[in-house]
Amino acid sequence: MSQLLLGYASRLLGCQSRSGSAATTAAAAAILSQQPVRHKSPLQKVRKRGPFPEWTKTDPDPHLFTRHIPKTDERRTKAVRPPGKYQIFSVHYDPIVNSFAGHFVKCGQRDKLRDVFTQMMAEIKHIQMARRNAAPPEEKASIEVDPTRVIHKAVENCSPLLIIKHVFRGGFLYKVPCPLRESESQMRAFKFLRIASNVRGTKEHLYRSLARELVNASNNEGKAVHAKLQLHKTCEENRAYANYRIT
Amino acid sequence: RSIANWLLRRRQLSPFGACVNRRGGASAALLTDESAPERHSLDRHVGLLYRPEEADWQAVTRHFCRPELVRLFDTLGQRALMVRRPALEIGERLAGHAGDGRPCLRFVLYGRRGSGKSLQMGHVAAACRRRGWLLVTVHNAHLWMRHSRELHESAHRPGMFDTAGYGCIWLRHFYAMNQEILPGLRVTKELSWNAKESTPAGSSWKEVIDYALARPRYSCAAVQFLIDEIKLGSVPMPTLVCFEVANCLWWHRSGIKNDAIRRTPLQGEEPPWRADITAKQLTLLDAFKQLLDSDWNNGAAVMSVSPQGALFDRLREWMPRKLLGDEGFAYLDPFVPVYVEPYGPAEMSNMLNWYTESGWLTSEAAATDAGRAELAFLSDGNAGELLRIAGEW
Repeated sequence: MSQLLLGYASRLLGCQSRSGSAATTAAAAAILSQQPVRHKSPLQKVRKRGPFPEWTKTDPDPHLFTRHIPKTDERRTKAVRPPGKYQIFSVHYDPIVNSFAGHFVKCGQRDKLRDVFTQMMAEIKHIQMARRNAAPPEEKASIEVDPTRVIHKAVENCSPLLIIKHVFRGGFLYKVPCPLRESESQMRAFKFLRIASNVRGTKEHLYRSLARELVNASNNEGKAVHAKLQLHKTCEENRAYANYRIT
Repeated sequence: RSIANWLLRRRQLSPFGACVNRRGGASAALLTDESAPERHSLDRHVGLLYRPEEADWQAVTRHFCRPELVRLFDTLGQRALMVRRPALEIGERLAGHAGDGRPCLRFVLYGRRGSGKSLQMGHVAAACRRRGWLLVTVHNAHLWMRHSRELHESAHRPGMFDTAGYGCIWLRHFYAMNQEILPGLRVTKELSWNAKESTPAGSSWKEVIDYALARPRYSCAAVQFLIDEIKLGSVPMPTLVCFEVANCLWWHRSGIKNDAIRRTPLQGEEPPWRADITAKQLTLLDAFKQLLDSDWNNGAAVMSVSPQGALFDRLREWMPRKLLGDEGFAYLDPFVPVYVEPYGPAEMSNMLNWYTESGWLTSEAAATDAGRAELAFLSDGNAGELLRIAGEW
């Protein structure tokens, strides 16, 4: 602490002496060592950059809007991302199914797609229940009927671990295997499933072909999983160029 | 005080908990052992589920159900239908109606789309079939008006059009529904198909139907002849007429076009402005419309009105006066209107219990109180909506 600052501090404290006794010096040091006082709103001090955590609603709180929230509660000042437009706080909400639906939306017609997805999940139940009824007793327990769990398994089976990125170096275009972020891997899985469920013309409804493809993918069969395995194979073939990665 | 405080004081977990009974998650569905629809009574069986018998289901009830419901029952391997007030009220009234020269009694079921009108009609039809009545049921009139199948000018009713394909389909359906009764029925008049061919009086109804199935050109004429027989009173047992989506009979639009007639264009329409062939010009539909009149004895008619009958016009109305219009209302007046209401809390709770018990609701959330309240809210008590939404849960 410079003498100048100490002088200011002592004047703030209203001390008469300029020389600065030990007590005032210590007090001044204490003041100066504190955070600078901001006279704006208390939320100022928590504003920061960077990815904010999601707001998680672990327990449904029936008294959320009736009970007074104390000033020291972290809900007043916790920096969180606002919930997404389609992030519904319902017991049945599933983030993966929600993102999967968003991937299929065309021209912003998400409401239309909701009906498709309702039918698709019912179709998954029909397929799996028919399979379970026909299966021998020892296999019945292993067949998953819940459509949400089938979708989770299918997306997991279709998620690639590496992806090919094209790197132009020395006049040649190399296919370089690169790792993926989790969100990007999930997106790739959605894309594989979407392209695999595309049926030419009006032969079949989307909900039927998509349900069939999801059930196949959850069993590690079908076009989507095949596409993922092809990608892995290409990555394996080009593993010599892995060091050309840019990121 | 806010609503949330009021609900808190009433100890409800969510604002929508009132829509469904019985807190504490899912419990056992309430089923009744009484599988005969005519023995269901208003004081004992309302709100309970019953399992229809195989014969009843295959012959009658199956035709009144949506394809999604039929498929659900096939997948689950079990069938359960709910006994509800409208069907029992109609059934009670019909039980003492037969004979005595009383004119045809007409009921019009109305309610929101998906509220369960067709299934109530199915319950009444199954009960009457077990009592020995003759059943005349029409399920797809509004679909017959959307697409023409083998349309040609009618010979037995000049100026109108026959739809031979639908006539054949209906005759086969009619025969399958009344297989036990038909061998005993005879026609009382001579039926002349054309200048050369005729069926003599006293021949059985099965012969008439077989002739029409072999010669599809005369299928609509056969339907007209059989309906004439019913109206004459030559049928010894009472007749029940069930007509789904009856308001399409008086609708001004249809999917069948007549090239020979030009008409004024509707708003935003491109030429050529061909006239629609409405139900008034279709012999098959006009024949069934004659059965909905009150000038014949020993029978009753149960029909439903639905926005689905308002072809090419997405109406939000569901009341009979609006859907039937002036002409239809004047034709059917006087009738008994029967309202098919949404599920109450007890019915909703029972339905959710059955869906959970049979294994159709696979999500863990569906067994919890919050999940059940949400299902009750999203479907708003509508049976069809609940069926659709439960496919997701």
